[in-house]
Amino acid sequence: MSPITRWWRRVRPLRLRPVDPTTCALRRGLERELNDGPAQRVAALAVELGLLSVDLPDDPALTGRVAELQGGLAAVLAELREIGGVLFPPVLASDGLEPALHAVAERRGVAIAVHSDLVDQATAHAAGLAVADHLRSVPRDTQVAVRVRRHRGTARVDVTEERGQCG
Amino acid sequence: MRVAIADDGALFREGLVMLLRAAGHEVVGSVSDGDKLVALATSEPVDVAILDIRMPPEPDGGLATAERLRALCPSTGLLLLSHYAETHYLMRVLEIGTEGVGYRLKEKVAGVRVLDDTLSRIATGEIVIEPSLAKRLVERPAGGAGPVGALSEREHDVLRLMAEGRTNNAIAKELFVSAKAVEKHIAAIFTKLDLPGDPSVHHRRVLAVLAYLRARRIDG
Repeated sequence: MSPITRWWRRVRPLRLRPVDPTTCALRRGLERELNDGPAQRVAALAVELGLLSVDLPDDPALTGRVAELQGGLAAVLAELREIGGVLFPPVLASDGLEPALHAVAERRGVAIAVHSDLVDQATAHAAGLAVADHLRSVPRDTQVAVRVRRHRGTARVDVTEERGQCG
Repeated sequence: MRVAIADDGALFREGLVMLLRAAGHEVVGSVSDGDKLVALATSEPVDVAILDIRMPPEPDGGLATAERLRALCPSTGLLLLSHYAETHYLMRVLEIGTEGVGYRLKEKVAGVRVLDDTLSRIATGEIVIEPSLAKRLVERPAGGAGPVGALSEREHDVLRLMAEGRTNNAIAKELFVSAKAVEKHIAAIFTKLDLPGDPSVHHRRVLAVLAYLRARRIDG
């Protein structure tokens, strides 16, 4: 802890609602549809535009307009990616809970430490989505610790936050 | 250059084939999954293989296939494409290999020049990393605290380009400075960040920088 910045440890009760299996499946399906449908098609359009510019005459004005359109398509994809990542973090689907929470925290500029017992996929998805949704409401530069414990057939998720404030 | 592509999205894949041909490359194969790509690349020489990360065999067939390809044909360069720029996938790519590998967003290789540049860098053994991901990794923490905050603006620019896998010459060209000046900046960065490794060995330098930046973002 730096002497200039004073830190307050704020402990407040936090109620995370686990995401039920139907919603998990729905969100995962929507993300996949977004990725395989619109995102794939816009990426194909970007390639199409790249091909078009090969055949364009050497005209700076035209080249500039094509570059602008490319930028526009990239912006649409960035937005789709943002929505997809909120629906179902891609790393949660491919690599599970811990890497997924690190990935979401990194995008949010939040420092995170995750300790998790081995849990089945359904539990990982339910807990992962709940914590990922919560991370989006946490201010940047918060330090978050997540602990997932198995306990008598249930999973207990503890989230601890520490926020830095300039004093 | 002899290039092979595997992507289950037919529209994007076929477009990329045409773009590669327009760039003067020979497309030795265009297939829809990882297994077909392995069969192809083991039967004829391929300079660079382009793989979609999310394709069959599920769930992340591109990464599993890249790993198999690296073991079977170590001289084939690997370009992994994705809709998402994730540090986690980048690290998995670097676990597969630290020479002749790349990780880029699909739409960012949609032009002849950028595709050509990416492929030739990979073919010569370089690491190519999506610039927006490198930029996110080197972002200064709020308030400029920590060792990255202690870098000068120019050193920060050099660090960002290093994290993209750029060589000294490429960094010099991008920033309009001499290669000698870049060397000095890199030496200063390595000292300020207290990085291990030899700053003159290209791929080891990129790895040191990435490992450092990733650890910093995760552990705060």
